[in-house]
Amino acid sequence: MTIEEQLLAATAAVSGLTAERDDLRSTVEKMTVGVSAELESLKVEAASKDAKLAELTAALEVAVKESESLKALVVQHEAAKVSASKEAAKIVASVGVSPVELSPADGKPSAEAVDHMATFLSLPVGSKERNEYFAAHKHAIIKAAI
Amino acid sequence: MANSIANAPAILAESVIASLKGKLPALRAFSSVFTAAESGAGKTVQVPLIGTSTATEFSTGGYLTQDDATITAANVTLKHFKVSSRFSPLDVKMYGAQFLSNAFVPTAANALAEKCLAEIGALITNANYSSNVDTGAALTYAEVVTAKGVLDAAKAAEPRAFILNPTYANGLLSDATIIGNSVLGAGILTSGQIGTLAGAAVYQWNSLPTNAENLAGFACGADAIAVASALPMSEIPGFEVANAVDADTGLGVQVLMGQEQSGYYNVTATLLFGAAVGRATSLHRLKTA
Repeated sequence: MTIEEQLLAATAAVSGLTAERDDLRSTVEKMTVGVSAELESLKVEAASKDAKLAELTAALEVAVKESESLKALVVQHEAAKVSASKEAAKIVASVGVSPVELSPADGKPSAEAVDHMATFLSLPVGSKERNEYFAAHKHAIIKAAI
Repeated sequence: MANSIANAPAILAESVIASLKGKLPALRAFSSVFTAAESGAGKTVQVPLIGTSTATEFSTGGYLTQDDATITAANVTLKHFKVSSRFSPLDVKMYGAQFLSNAFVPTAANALAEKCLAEIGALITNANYSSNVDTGAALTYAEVVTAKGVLDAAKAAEPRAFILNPTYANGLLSDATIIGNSVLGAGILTSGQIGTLAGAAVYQWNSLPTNAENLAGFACGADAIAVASALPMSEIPGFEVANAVDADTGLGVQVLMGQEQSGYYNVTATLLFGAAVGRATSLHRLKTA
C-alpha cells in the first residue's frame, strides 16, 4: 500500500471514528438531559410528599388532642351523673320519701305504663291466659273499662 | 276515664264467667259439652256419655270391632237464659265500671247458676232415675258407702259425685266417722268442705229441689246426666256484645250492653244451657222419706 493509499484509509477511518464519536456524544448528551429531567421530577415529587406528610402529622396531632378532650368530657359527665343521682336522692330524702336505689329494673316500664285493658282484650277469648290475666289484673282492667 | 262503654261487656262477661264457674262446680260431675259456638234456643247438642270401656284381645277383626258398647250419647235441648239489669247513665258515669261490676256480676252469676241448676234438678225424679233409698233426716257416712255400692253394682262411670242439700251435707259434717278421723277431721272442721268421700266428690247444692218426691241428694256417675251449653247469636244495633269462656270447662257467657231510648244502660248476661237424662241406672236418689 502506497502512502497515498494509507492516507486515504486513515482519513476514512478518522472520519468514521469522528462520526461514531459524535454519535456517542449525542447519545450521552441526550441521556444526561433525560436523567436530569427525571431527577428534577423525583425531587419535586419528594418535596410534595414531604409537604403531605407534614400536613397529615399536623392533622393527627389535632385528632389526638380532640380525642383527649372528649375523654375528659366523658369523665366529667360521668362524675356529673353520679352527683345528679346523689342530689336527686337528697331531694327525695328531704321531702320524706326514702331514696330508691337505682337498678337495672328502672329500665322496665312502670305498672302504670302497662295497658292492662289492651293486653286483656288482645288475648283470645276462652284462653287460659285471658282468664288468668283478668284474674291477676282485674282491678286495673275494670278501672280502665269506662 | 274513657268515655265509651265499648270495653265494658268484655270485662263484665269475664267477671260473670269467673263467678258462674265457682257456683257450678257440680257440673264437673256430669257428661258435658260446653262450647262457645253460636247456637239458639231449641237446638240440640249431642253429648257423649262417659262410659266404662272394656279392652279385648286383638284378633282378626282388627280395630274395627267396637269394644265399648256402653258409650252412647244423649241429646240435650238448649234453653236460652238471660238476666238483664238497667243502670242510670249518671251512676255509670259517676262510679265507672267498678260500680257496674259490683252491682251486676254477682246478681247475674247467681241468677244464671240457679237457672242452670234448676234444669238439672228437675231431671232427678223417680221417672228418670228409679234407683233410690230412704236415708232419713240426716245422711251418714255408712249410707254414703252403701250408695257407692249401688253405683258400683250399676257400673256407673267415673268420676262420681254426691250432690246433697244443705241438711244432708251438714249431716255428713257432723258424722263422727268423718270429723273424728285424725286426717280428714281437722281440715273439714275448718273449711266445712268435705271434698272427696268414698271416691266421690261431695257438692252441696243449696237449692236442690225435692221434686215432691222427698229428694235430699243423689249419688251419680258421670254418665248419669248430660249437660250442654253454648252462646246465643246476639246482634242488637247500638249494643256492644262480648263473650267470655272459662278455659277449664268451656262454659261460656255472653254480655250485651247498650243504651235504651229511656237513657238507661241495659246490661244483659245470657247463655244457652240444657240438661238431659243420661244413663238412668248411674244415679241413685237419696230421699228423706
